[in-house]
Amino acid sequence: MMLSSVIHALLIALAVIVLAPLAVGLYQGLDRKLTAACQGRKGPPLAQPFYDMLKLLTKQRALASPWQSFFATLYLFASITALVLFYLGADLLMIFFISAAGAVCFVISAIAVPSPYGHIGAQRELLQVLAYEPLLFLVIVGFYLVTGSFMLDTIAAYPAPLLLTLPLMAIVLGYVLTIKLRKSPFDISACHHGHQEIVRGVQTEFAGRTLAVTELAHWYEIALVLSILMLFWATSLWGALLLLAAAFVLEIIVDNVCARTSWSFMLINSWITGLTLAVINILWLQVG
Amino acid sequence: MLAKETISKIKELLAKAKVKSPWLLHFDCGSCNGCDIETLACLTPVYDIERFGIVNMGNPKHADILLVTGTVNHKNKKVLKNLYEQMLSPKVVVAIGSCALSGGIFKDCPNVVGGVDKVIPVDVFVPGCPAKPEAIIDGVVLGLQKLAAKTETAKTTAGKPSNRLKVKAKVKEKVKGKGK
Amino acid sequence: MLTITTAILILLPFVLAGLCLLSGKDRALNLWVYLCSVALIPASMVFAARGNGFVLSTFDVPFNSGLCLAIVDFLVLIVIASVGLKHKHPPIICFSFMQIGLLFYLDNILNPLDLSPFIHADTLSIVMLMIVSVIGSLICLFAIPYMKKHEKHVLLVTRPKRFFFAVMLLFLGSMNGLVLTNNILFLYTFFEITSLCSFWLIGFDRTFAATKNALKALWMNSLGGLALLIAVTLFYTHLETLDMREIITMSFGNASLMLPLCMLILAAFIKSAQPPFQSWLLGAMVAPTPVSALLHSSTMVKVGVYMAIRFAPAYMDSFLSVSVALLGAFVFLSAALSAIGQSNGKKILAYSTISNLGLIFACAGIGTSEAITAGIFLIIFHAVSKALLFLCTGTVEQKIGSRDIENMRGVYRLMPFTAMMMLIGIMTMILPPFGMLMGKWIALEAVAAINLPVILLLAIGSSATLLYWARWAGLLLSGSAEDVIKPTSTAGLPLLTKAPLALLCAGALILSFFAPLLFKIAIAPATEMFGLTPFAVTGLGLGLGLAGYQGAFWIAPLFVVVIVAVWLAARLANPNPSAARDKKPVKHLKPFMCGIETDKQGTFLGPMNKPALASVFNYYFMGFCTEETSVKVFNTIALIVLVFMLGVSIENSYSLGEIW
Repeated sequence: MMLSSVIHALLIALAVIVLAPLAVGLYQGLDRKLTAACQGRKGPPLAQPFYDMLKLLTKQRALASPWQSFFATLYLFASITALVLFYLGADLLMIFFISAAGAVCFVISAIAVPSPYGHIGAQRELLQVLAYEPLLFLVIVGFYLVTGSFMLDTIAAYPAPLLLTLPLMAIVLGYVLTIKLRKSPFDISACHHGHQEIVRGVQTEFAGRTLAVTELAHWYEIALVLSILMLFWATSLWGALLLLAAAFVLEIIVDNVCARTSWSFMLINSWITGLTLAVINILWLQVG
Repeated sequence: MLAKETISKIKELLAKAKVKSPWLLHFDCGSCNGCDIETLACLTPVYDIERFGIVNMGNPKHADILLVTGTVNHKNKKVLKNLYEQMLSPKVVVAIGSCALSGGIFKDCPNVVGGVDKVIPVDVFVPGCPAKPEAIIDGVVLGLQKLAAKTETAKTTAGKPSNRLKVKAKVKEKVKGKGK
Repeated sequence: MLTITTAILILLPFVLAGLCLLSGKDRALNLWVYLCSVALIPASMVFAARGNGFVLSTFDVPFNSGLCLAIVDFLVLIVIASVGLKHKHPPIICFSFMQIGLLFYLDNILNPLDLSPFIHADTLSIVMLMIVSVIGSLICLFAIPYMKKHEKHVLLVTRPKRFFFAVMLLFLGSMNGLVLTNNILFLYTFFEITSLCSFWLIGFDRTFAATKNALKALWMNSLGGLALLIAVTLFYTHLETLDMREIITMSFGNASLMLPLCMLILAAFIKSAQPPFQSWLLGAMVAPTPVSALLHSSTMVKVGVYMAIRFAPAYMDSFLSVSVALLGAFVFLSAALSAIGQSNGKKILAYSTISNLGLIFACAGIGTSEAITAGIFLIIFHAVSKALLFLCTGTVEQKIGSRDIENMRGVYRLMPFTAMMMLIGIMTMILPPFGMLMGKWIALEAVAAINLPVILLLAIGSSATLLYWARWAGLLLSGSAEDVIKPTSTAGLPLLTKAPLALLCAGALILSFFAPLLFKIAIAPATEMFGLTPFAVTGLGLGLGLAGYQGAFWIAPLFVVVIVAVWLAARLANPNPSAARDKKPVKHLKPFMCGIETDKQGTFLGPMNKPALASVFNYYFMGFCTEETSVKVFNTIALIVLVFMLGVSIENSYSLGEIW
């Protein structure tokens, strides 16, 4: 029995590792198409994110610093581990910490190169982490308070959609998603394609394969946050996809409507709004 | 056998990706900004070069195509060289506008080096003053064809003028040959 | 046999301390320190293996322990008073004389039989014992070459080195006694001895700053001692016993004993440098690094949290526990925010210590078995990692002459071994699957359903923690590709410097890996009185992870992932491509400086066409809040909570029973 469960786990892990980048790449491709449509353009083909990533692999082997490459690989491993553990039903808080470890490794790899732009980008990335981590943590606490456990198999097996009891937490997760997807108004450390901030911000000194590694790790991180979003309606596949679609559209609208803000605005706004909403939701749970 | 097929398919895919995702670095050596405006106009919804996957990254480490406008002068030739050298091969240089081609109307000024190809090897020359967006797009597309032929171990031949093919005026031919 | 072991653990360091004072030459001095380490480490291991439940009463020892205790007590207090008189420091004089007076009173009403049993070891004591003995010995060994170099550096007149080592060994002995004792008066004695040791060690360099900070530490710790003595007296007058276990069981739910418990907690707070008393710890950073590593991160400040956890069953489910939890969580957040604004490496470590101690206090306040497990895990792992980080910082400081982290930029080039140790130390502090993170995970899971303000503070605090560690770790490695591939390390470090660093590093990693077994053997017994055992060790009992009622932390699988990841990452980052299968040349990239970089590394063409150095610093939030204002705000909030706590305790004690 143990052997079959190990094989089962390995198969799930393999499926996650292969399918997640495909799914997120498609998501990013749709994102660019819809953004282009909002701006009256035609936009790149749907497979563009895959072309971008594959092109990076055809570039010359380049090294800014071995430590940068080392920690970028660790970032990738952490992101993959967090996502695989998610689908294996592990402890959500542990997954949160593993994902945070990945973010820390990314920042260390950026600071490991003595570059002014990269360094400022890395400081801003740390501020982004400071902004979204408490929010994500409180969302997870929200899950725990409703379902009584941090384990994902228990949370996913909860009979009612979590959105009904944790609606404000979904909005809080929206803040986290905006920051993670590097969308305005919170794209202060680096911006997704087409925009520049402090040259390329935290990604300035990454090139070629190292950049591909960090991009891939970022995709796995996005997959993790989107998976947590889908947990809000884990009882029905269509419900989860509906949530995903709603988040997708809302993120694009917010991105196109808002301008980039300063780091202090991001920090204060996400803390005040996010923490207040989370606290209200938790109090409502405890009272009701 | 199967392994060889998969490897060749992967190589095909990588080769396709190489030209499907060209990232630009735009450097203005000191132009009147006429060519720059036309270049940036390509990014607007009217011409929308993002549909070819082209994105203007400001970072040489991320860029495949270097668009140079303006006259290279003795002050910024080192800068141009630095930026070119920071780019990872395979890379392509597109010189836009008559100032970048040969110095344009400023050719005889004392500080003007005259022509980008005196500093870095240029792959595509796009004439015009200012160059039209359609011509710039054609130039970039031609550059992509050259990029497809280059591999990652292309040596940099800094300072030596390379092939001096000029863009012909036939628009239709370029449109047919784009994005292989 | 265990009696002899106990004697080795407590009395031998005292004896060796005396011998250190008498030795004139370095060789003799080093011999006593080696002897102490060689004796303490095995003795503590023997005690750990056999000593659970060991009881020693006053009748088992061949000398009159009551008399000895009284002599030592008064001696220590007289020394403290004389220090106060010499430096004309009113608070010290006041507190020490008050303690002398109170001690006279206590000794008058004391029945000598109540001094027994004075040693009773359980798993919590053994855990603390191991920490003190093993880490303490390693730090003393590290101090041998460190102090040799320190003597040469510090040009002012210092006390002789033998005094330093004598006090360090005295401290080790008294810490061992403190954690093993079951008698609250012995606890007080050892508490005061450690305060005195701290004073001597902080003021060792005899500079103006050192003396000032040493006096500040002494007066605050004396206040703590006074609070503790008041608690002891009140306990004795109420309960007629000095046995800690009896006191704990009898105090539970007994509102009239809230005041002595509150006094005890106050003493614990002061000893663990919680706001508003944290300035003594920050000032103590002027001391030589082994002092900071031993006293002010791993052991002495742990006395406070040890007392809090030891007495947690007494104040469980009361107003005191709630306020301790709230204050602890608040300190966790505020100290983390303060650390973000610091660039002095030792001050960052000090604030981090205060922050983690606040977290442990929060765990003690919450008081469930999970929370106590978290507290004990945090004590262990924090001691190891923080000692490692302090020792590394000291080594780096001696090499580059600065403790500012901005000057540690790229220190990997100069000192690759130390930088690696420091990097691993920082990783073990903040990343899973290592012990500190696991302890934090347990603490967060323990608190989640219980207390909303605490979980909120802990959530923000744990994100803030990542900030100041991540940027320090990155700074150490900063350097161009050439620098990193060929670090220019000059003369190697002596073995006695490298070995403690390597052992502490290995200890942090190995202890993290064996955390589930550690839990089963050492911690689960200590949490029995708080409720059901919170975790089961998964994986056929082999320690794959910890599984609780609401969550599970996998350790061994994550370690496997980490090992594979590190190996693969190292291979992919291999800067030597000829060793790789494809022999393509690797391009070394220079940092982007808009094309105006010059050939000299790190410079760009600046004004007047001269090369200018590109420099970027971390952001220390100067615009937001400087250290002065933020410290004032945090101290005020903490003081308000403490005063509230004291007031409620006094009100409870007086209205429900008489004190005298």
